[in-house]
Amino acid sequence: MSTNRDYVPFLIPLILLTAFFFLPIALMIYIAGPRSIVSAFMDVQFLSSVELTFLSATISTAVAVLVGTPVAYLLSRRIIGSSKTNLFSNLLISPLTIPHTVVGIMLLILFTPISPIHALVPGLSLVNSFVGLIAALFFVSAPIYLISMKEYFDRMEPRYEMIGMSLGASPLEAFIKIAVPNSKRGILRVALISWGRAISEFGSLLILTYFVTLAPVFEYVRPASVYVWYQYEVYGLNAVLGYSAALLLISMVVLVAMIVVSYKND
Amino acid sequence: MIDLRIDDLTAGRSSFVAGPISMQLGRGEGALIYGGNGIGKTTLLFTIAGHLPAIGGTVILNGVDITKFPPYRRDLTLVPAESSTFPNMSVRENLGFALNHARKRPDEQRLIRAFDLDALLDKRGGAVSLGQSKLIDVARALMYNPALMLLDEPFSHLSEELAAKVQDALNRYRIDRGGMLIVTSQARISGFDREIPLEHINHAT
Repeated sequence: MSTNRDYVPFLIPLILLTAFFFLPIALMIYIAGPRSIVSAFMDVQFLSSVELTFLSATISTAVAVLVGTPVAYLLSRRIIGSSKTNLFSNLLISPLTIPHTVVGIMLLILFTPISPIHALVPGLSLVNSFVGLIAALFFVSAPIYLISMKEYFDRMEPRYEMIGMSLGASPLEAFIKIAVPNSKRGILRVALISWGRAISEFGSLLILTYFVTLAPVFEYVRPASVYVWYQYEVYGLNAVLGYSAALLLISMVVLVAMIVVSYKND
Repeated sequence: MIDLRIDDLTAGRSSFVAGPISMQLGRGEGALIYGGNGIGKTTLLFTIAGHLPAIGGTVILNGVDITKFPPYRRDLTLVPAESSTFPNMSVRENLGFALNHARKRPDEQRLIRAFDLDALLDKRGGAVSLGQSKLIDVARALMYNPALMLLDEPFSHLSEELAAKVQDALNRYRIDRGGMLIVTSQARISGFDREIPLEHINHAT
């Protein structure tokens, strides 16, 4: 390897960081062992939990892409002026600082009778509903999508959209036909990060959607992270190892997908 | 008859002010703004195009004060000095994009022939050379066929042969369409009805 020795101070933290993240992952899979992992994958309830989690995370990410991309673009191009842009940028990423259990409680009371907006939509409840699950995942992952996409657009030169408008295109047309197609790779990468964040959510789901019923597809199905916690609480550490390792392996799909996307881009 | 009237237009950012410039153009006439690097030619052009707000002055095109109009409502277009061929579209789609918005449809086949673009039509915008990109950018602007074209150093990065092609096409646009041109250049070049030298920059206090 021809790496310059002067870069050793950078390489040591790189190795330490990689070890810090991947040692527990490798040990978890090793300690769980193939038998318990296979048996987790044979558990219909667990698979249903994974299905629920993947479906809701995908829908929540799709909504984040649809709503977050134009907002990130608007903020990046400072169309509403610098002070308003800074205000909305800070406001829209501030949900990231809210503890996720608090997010769960906020969404829990949103449409209950103690909330002033309950009277407007008396039939709606987010508790243990598929919509509630998506709302919680969106709340915790969309700000990540928004801030990352804004930074992506910040790095992208506005020249092409400007020329598009100079050729008679409205701002919306320039955004749809020029800015979005030229940032497809960025949208995909950032959406994957946001999706990964949604998949791993636990705190708000424990409070808001301990289980979800969406007839006829899901009946009292726990989100995957809640399912793992439930197994741990009820049956103890030995019982949960296989589920944890299986969920971990599935989550690694996100990582692999990101690596593939990155390599294709370079 | 005056079709473009610019009065005391000043442009710039917080650090400097370009201009003021004033000019009047009739149908088919062209103006040259020339001066050294960093003197504010591009800033003035982007301001006339509506991409930067004017600090002062007015731009009146065909009797309408367009000083505060957005770029897409000005009946003019800008060809920047840097390549601006949309990389996500084919050359054909690049030209079609402009044609779809043209208020007066030009003779598109003649334009494609004039710029020898036939062989390039199916290439991606991001896969053409710098010289080809400059030609496509000018051809695309001519497809839009507006009342006024703003060209920022259009002959840089072009061989003599290609520069002559661009010049011919622009002359035809002036004669056939009655279109007006504002061109920037570092050096003085002949063939324009008005010449506006920019000599010094005004630093904001």
